[in-house]
Amino acid sequence: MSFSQNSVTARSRAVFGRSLTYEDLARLCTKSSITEVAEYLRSTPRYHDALSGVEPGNIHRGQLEALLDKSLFDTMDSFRRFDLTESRWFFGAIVSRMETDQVLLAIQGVADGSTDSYITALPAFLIERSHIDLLELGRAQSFGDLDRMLNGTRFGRLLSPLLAEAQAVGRINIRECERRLYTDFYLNCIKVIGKSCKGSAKTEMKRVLLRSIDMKNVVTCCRMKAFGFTPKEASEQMLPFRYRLGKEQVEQLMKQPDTDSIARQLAELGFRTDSTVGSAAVEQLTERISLEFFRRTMRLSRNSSTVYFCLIECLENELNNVKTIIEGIRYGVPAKEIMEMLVI
Amino acid sequence: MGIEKMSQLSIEGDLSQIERALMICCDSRNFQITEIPDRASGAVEQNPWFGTYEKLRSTAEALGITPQLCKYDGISLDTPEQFSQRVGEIARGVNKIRSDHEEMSASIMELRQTDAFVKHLLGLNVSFKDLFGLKYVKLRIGRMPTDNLQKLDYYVNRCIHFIPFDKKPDWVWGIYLTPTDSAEFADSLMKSLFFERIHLPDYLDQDAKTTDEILVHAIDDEEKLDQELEKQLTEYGSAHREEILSLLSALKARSDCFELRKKALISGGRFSFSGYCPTRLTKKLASALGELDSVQVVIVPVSAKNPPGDVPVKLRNNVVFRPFEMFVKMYGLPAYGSFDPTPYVAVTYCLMFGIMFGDVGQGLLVSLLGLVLSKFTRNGLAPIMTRIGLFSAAFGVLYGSVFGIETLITPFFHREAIWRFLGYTRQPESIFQAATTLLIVALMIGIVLIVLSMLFNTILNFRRKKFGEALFSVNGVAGLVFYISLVAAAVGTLMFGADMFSPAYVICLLVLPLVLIFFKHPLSNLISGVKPAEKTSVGNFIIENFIELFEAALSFLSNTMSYLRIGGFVLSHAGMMLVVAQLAGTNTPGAEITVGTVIVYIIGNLVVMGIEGLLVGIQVLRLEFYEIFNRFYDGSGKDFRPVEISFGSEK
Repeated sequence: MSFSQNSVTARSRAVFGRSLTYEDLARLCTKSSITEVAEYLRSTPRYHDALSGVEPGNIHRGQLEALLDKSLFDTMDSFRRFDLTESRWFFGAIVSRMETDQVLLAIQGVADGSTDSYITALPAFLIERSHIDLLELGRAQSFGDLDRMLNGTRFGRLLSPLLAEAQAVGRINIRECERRLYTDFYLNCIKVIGKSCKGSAKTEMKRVLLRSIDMKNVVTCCRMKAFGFTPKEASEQMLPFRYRLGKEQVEQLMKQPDTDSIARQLAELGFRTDSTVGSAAVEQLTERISLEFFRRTMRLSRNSSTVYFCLIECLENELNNVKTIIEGIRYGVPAKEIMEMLVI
Repeated sequence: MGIEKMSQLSIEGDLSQIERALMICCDSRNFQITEIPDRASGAVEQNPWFGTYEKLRSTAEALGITPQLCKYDGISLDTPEQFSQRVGEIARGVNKIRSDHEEMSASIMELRQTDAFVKHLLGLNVSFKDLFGLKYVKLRIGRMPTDNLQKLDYYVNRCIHFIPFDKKPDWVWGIYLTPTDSAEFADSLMKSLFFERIHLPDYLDQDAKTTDEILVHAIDDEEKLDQELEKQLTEYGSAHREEILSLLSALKARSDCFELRKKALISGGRFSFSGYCPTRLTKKLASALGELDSVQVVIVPVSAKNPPGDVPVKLRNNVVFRPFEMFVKMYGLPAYGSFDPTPYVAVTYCLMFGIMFGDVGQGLLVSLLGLVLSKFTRNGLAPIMTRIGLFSAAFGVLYGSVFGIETLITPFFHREAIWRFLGYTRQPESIFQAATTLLIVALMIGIVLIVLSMLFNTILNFRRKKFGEALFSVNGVAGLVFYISLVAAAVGTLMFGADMFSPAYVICLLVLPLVLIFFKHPLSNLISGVKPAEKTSVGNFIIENFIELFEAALSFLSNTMSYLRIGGFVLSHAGMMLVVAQLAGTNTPGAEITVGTVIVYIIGNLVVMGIEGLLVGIQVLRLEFYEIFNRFYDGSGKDFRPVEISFGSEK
């Protein structure tokens, strides 16, 4: 392992070491207002810098969440500046994924006439890092406008037929847009891993990525079942990458009546969770399985790319937990119930 | 004195008694519970007490009550729900005053922000009444994140005009203007861009300068009201203090016991857990546990010869040596059943420090400082300072130095019998003239300490039945014979002129031990009857053992020379005090003592004590760890961590 790789691994673990603890999350859940949450977060090593400039008494939910999002993005950006090798393409992939989300939001904005919401929700920190003019997308009034604005980008190449069709019929298949964009995104990731990593590092990195895609596919599969789709139709909607989730497994999954039986089937496939707390929804179950795997891999892996990838996933999970708490507090949900909703 | 003998306790009983059993173990403060490896897999169980405890803790924090353990026998509450209800009642009482207080604080803050904002507009001569009274245009003042400024371009044709007038990396302050009929849209939009609007109260209808003055008065008035609310909060805290502390203790105990339950085996309505307790205290703990119905305790003393891998180590020394346990723990605790070097460290540390920092006045002052610090702080170094200061003072008497003044007490080397014994033809004027003797004495101290450390290592290895290590290692019999013989021959030849390097002496006492050290591994295997795990080629064997032997021979030389620093610091101390005397102008006979002289002496002594005291302390610790511990000590023990209920480890 090179010096650079060692340093990325060490730094990743150091950043992970500043994560919010179980006690931190429990204490956050007992808070009664966004102000208290902001105050508490500001006292933690993780979010101290991000929230040092704000006045907790004046902050509101959207602004707090935007600051936390920016804090995570800044952490990733700090790796890009710190390491001149693999963190670069990782950062590119992160920006690319965020662009994908924004393009989908822009399409959704045109579809339901809420482009103003798209602009206000657009993360300002992404605008200067993005390869496409994200602000300009907000000016689109029709799918034809979007098609023209995305022309010449990878998004244009993938979405042009769908946008043209939507312009003609007046309705867009957003699910297909998402599938195409994410398929292309993961395909690029796999290609870059093939080029950038070698030997066992390449195998491990692909395994980690495919495993996380499997978990996303499990969620898609269960959602499709809820909407009454057949296993074949569900498979067509899933991302076309597989680790352990073959045709048979998808059929089996769609037969499961509840989350507990899905958990048992996933355990048989090697996707286990040590948590004794039941999961309310399949999303929570798959996120728990993934989180435990990422934490374990981060501790044991000697491959810096894998460690860094796992770190990002863990940080995103932590951020989602904080957002869940903020939402719970806003709607007056009791602390115990908020805790049950968290992925820990 | 030494390492406490431990016993293993297995406790089992009816599940209804588990919390009481755990509580007795916690109260004893002498029981370390054993982890069950299978349970450490990250399983998360919801603690029913934690949420209520946290709620009360944050209420206590709001009231300025610091959590501390106290008796809670009087509390009649039992279930988590009952606790939650009572805590809720207390919290509601606090929350009412607190919310008023927060509102007032927010209002004060808003006024301050408004004032700070108005200060940005001090050049504005138009009254706010005129600005806000515009019929067709609405005006808002406030700040927004700088990042979001670029998004405003998108709304350039949407009836919003933002005028920034102070821009910082994170925030931009400004005013936005919008037609009256578009105000609702504009306000909602700017809010979504995190524009923090600052509301100017209606009475602020003057120009910026007058407004600033009005705001300053308003802030003063509200601060007085806020202080009144704070007083109410304090009174509420005083009225409920005892109840809150009792509830906190009860909840903390239950919450911690719940966490400890995870370390117990629970099956079929029974529980079982085990752990370690110092043997001398087991009877007391066992009898307390035995008083519980259906609880049985099995005590198994831990064998010192063949202890389990997880047995913890607790040092037990008398009050004189106890503070030096800190240094031993810093290096690593001794393994269970081995030897506690604390008394040895205490004696050698005090002696070396005393020699290197010998001054009656400074020593007594260090000792006094240590006493004061011990009284008012928990600093582990304070009691050590008390002890080393006394040794420093004792050696100061020998050197005849009182705060660097060497005329009050006669130094030992000024006594005729002594300077004649040391080989001087006339009395040395100062310690610098006896520097050579001093350095030789330092080397002799080093040699004695190295020999003692090697003796310890040899005896310990014999006790552990590691005969190969005891006989053939660098710090065993072979190394000891080689080192003592070499030192004896060098001293005999250089100091007494006797040529001791005869062929028989060299071969038997110098070469033979080295050969034994060289062949240590095969000879050890031969004695113990163990076959080597892997075969080494002859070439590799020679290279490896030659390098080890070379390094060992060098370490004898470098370790011995390392002790020269003892003498070096005696000279350095004398030198630094000489500088102080020169600065004070008292280095010449009959010099006048003035207020300036006294001040320079005080400052000089304080500086020397600060710099040199610290340096000597570190240097002696270095000698302990590198030159002494390295030869015989293996700090592989595990610290004894008894279970207890405490607020100490919290944020």
